[in-house]
Amino acid sequence: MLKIAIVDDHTLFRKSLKLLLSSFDNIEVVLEASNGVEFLEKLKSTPVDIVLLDLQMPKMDGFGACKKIKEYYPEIKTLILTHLNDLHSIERVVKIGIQGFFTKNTPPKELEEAIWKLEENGFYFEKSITPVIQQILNNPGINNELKIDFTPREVEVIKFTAKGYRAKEIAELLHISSRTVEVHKQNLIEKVEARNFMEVVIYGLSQNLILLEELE
Amino acid sequence: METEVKVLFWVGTAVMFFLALGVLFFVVLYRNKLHKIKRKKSEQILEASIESERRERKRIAMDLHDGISGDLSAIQNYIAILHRKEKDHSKIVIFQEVEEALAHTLQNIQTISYNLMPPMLEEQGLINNLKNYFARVRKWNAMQITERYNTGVLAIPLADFYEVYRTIQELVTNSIRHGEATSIEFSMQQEDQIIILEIFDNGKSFDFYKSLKDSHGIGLKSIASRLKYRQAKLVQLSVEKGNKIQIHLKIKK
Repeated sequence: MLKIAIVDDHTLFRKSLKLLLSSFDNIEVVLEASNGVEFLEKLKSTPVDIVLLDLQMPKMDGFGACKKIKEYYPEIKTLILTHLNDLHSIERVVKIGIQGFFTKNTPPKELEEAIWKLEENGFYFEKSITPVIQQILNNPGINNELKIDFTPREVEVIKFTAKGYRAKEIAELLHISSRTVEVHKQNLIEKVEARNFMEVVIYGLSQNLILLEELE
Repeated sequence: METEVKVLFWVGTAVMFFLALGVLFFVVLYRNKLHKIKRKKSEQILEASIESERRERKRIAMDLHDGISGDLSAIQNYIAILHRKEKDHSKIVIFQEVEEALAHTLQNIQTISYNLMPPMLEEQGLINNLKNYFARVRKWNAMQITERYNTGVLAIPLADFYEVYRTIQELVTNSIRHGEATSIEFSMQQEDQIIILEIFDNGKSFDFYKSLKDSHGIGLKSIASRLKYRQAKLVQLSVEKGNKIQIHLKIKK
């Protein structure tokens, strides 16, 4: 069972989301909190795998909570779940080092896929925010100075992961074992000096290793 | 005897004259003062109304953004749960329709809320909000927009940058709607103690000062007077094609 936490200050939304997630296979909601402070407090006694995190909350907002999660619970994957879809907010959380971004405008049924992709690939960002990612890349200051050589195999792994393929599917496509795919991914994270695979993908985009059009 | 009367006469006249002058002076002074008080009063009223308008916009935008959007998202989730469990085809079709309508409503609410007041206006500051704004304009219109920001970190009071932000919004909307512009060059720079924000479009030229006077320019008129109140002003530069308008904002110490 995948253990999920929901952090959102809107009570009705939290309740509805819990019910929706419970209807997915192998996913259970083990923690609910209405702000960052409450979440961190409950996290001490309840371990989770993935946190669905709202950004605008009282006391401690999502940005603050992200930083704390990075610092104290780096193994937890963070999927931002918000109504905000502006450039600056996305840029801020991407720089903090979240693993996924899902806007509340996206049909909720796509959430199941998002959660599993996040779990298996270590990253997920929805299609509708790719123009925003593009904008962020146009800003100087994101890893652009770094020049790294990738093997063709590594580029393929980045490309397929960015497209949303799971490790198993990539392994089949490239005729290698899924264990090898995992090793490649781990190496890539170290090579780019990234904190997670999302940053590797963003780096790949910024170096034109992969093109946004390919992801559509 | 005769000279005494004469002296008395002149002294009397002089005294009367100065008295009259004194009264006149007093009246003028008083009126001046009254005028100043009145002007100050009306400035205060203007400030209060601008401030309360800003607050109301913010309140409504936040209610829409936090409350109603959240409720709609929750409803979306509930519908998704029902939809997943449903086997009856005719009901599934209805669920799809409902989902579509909900998504559309949510989108509309967000646009309205954003236009009233961007959700992170205060936290993010002027430059980030302008970037967000232009990103949105680009998304919804077939526009070529270039942006240049040549200022350092700016500490502009909220009331100032809120007005500047709304002015830019109004000018861009005007360019698109009335000027039928297809490209906009935006730039922001600092010269001494003045921040200059410039919008250069390729739409139909219009005489900014003239439209300030006639009745069509109500939007512009209110903007100009509000900017003036923030010690900022609008300036139109002459160009061969299109419009070039600048906002000059004084940095306050």
